[in-house]
Amino acid sequence: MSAQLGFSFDLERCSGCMACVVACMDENDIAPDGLSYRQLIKLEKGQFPSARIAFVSLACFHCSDAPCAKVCPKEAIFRDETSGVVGVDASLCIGCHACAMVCPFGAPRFTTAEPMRKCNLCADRLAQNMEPACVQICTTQALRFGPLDALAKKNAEKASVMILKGLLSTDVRI
Amino acid sequence: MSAFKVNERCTGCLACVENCPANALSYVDEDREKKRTLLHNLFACARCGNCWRICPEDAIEFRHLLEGGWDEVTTLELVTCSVCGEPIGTVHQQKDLIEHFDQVVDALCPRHKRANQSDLLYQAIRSGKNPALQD
Repeated sequence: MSAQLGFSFDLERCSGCMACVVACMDENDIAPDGLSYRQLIKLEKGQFPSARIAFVSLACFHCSDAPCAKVCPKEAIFRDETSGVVGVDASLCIGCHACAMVCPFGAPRFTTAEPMRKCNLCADRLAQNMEPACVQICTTQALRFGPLDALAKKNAEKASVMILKGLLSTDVRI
Repeated sequence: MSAFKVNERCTGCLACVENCPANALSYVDEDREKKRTLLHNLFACARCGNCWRICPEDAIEFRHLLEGGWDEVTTLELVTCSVCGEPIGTVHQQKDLIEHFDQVVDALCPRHKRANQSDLLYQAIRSGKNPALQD
């Protein structure tokens, strides 16, 4: 049995270059005017001279108690118990948007007349022992990926990760 | 709401009912309530237009039965993003998710959900636990 997988994100390292967003679109064949599974949020805080800027790169958190999977009436969304990846079976999706309404992060993506699509932690790449596209491309190594226990050890000293864990209502895996 | 419509000129003379070759028109008279209700069966209707030709009051609006069009099915109240106003779903959907699945449904579109979560993260860090982003 393999370990539970997840992303880690280091707020202090992220430069906001958006390479992860573009890599995700490239990997998942998302049209240039479409919406990437990974989004970059720019936060501007404060006034001159103490203004600050920060970037947060968000994709699906692959929640351990994924609300999207709970509410799906067709059980199209499932959580792989061995890898912990929350995936969607597009052939079962009826497009009711229930997952989009309950997801705290706005991860499920809908386009007109298409089933729901979302980040699947680049399952195809994982099968080839490759990192997810966004992680591989990250120039500052702010985004990382791996088994959760290893990430937790690596990030044990990172306050940002600890705080994010404590602050989110759902039990997310970072 | 229906494909077969009459306008306000209809007098309820039943000429259309008598002359429908497909027996797609009928009526009900409620004696007690003193009401006459004209009925149309779209399944039986051959769209021949005989009712429209025969109507002495020119009350039958048959054109859209031939041309096609959209009938309103139902109108429900929307839940919209509290920031940008983008529709998220209906109030009924929201109620269903809250009652049956015990889930929190924020009145935020996906974009503002992400912005909101990022903001929460930032505020938590600024509140004193991450030295790198403190003043």
